[in-house]
Amino acid sequence: MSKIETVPLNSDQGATSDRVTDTVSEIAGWVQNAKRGSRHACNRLVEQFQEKIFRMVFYRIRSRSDAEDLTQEIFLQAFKSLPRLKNEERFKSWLFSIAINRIRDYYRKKKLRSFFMTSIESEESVGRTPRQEDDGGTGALQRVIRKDFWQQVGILLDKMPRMEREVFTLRFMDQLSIREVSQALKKNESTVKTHLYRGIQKFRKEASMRNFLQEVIS
Amino acid sequence: MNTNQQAHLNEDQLLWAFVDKAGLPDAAQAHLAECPLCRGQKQRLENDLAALGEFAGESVPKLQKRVQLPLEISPSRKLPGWYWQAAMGTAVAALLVISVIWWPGTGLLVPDTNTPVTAWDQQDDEKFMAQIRVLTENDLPQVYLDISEGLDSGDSEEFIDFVVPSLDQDSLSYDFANRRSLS
Repeated sequence: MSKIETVPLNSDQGATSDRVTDTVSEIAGWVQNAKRGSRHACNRLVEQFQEKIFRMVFYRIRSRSDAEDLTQEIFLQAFKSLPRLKNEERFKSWLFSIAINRIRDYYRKKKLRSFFMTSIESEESVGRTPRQEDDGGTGALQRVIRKDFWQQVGILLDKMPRMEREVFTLRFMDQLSIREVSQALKKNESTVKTHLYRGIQKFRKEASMRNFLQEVIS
Repeated sequence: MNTNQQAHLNEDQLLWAFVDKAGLPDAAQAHLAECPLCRGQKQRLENDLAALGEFAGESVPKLQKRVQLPLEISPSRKLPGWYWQAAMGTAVAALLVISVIWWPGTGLLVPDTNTPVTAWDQQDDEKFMAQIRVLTENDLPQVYLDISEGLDSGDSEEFIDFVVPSLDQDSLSYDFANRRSLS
């Protein structure tokens, strides 16, 4: 078994210099160094993106342990395929595109498994509501609120076709820019904008969702 | 145009103002810049969507199993595209060379067309006649020849007598001859 090294979650656990940055050029520099085999650069990239990727995966599969495993796999695959990344400045969207593919694989395997099982699970029905231990809350009230939230999100996303749902989620839950979404999904920006427009239209019609958010935020 | 006279943004324009403001007509953009009501509506939509992202982020459990990198990170040394192109080109060239050399009818190993056809016919005839000569000398298949090779010349006489008896030794012929003499 190969030896492993744990990467700190954030700046609280890492050194002061190991801060999270949003500077694209700085990330591109790390990517260049990581391509040359720099361990330090790899650690910085993991530190920068591990929580974002974990959240992204969790939004889609709603299981903490599975999301953690997938996050691990996504990073390993990313570092393995790093020499193929031509434009270092696109690392973030490239990493998200790897994550999207891994999640698809995850659901494919799940469907295959469910095919041989008595209880039929599908992408639409699996993981809509997180398990009790995965809902991130401590108190009972918080748990109820979060459960309600994920149900509302599920209702909203169920009304969208797959690509629209992916665009909407990447833009508003994963907080990617329109350009990053288009790069991650390998679609042109105008297509992304059209999907986004339709998604927001559906969001506007979900009065219960909007009321819920306004209540929770206030 | 005065803000009061300009119609407020409709639902469609409001959504496009959020998705792609630059895609709005100039008049709508100008109205949005001046109209607090439309700006407020757009702002509310932005706030709702920001709240969605924010609350989603808060509803995610803490990452407990952190990403673990193997001590030896070895990016896969995938060969570059030009390498595969060069390899494919070489393979195709090799195939072409082989086909030029061996292709039936046109290959380089086929005799040249300058040789008269009669000469080739003559060669074929000679080969054919040689085969006939071999058959004439001994038409037994090679298997039988191999068997008979083990016998010396004295034995081969006996062997042939055994396989093809003479008229005197042939039992049927002998009976027939005896009957004739008796009668």
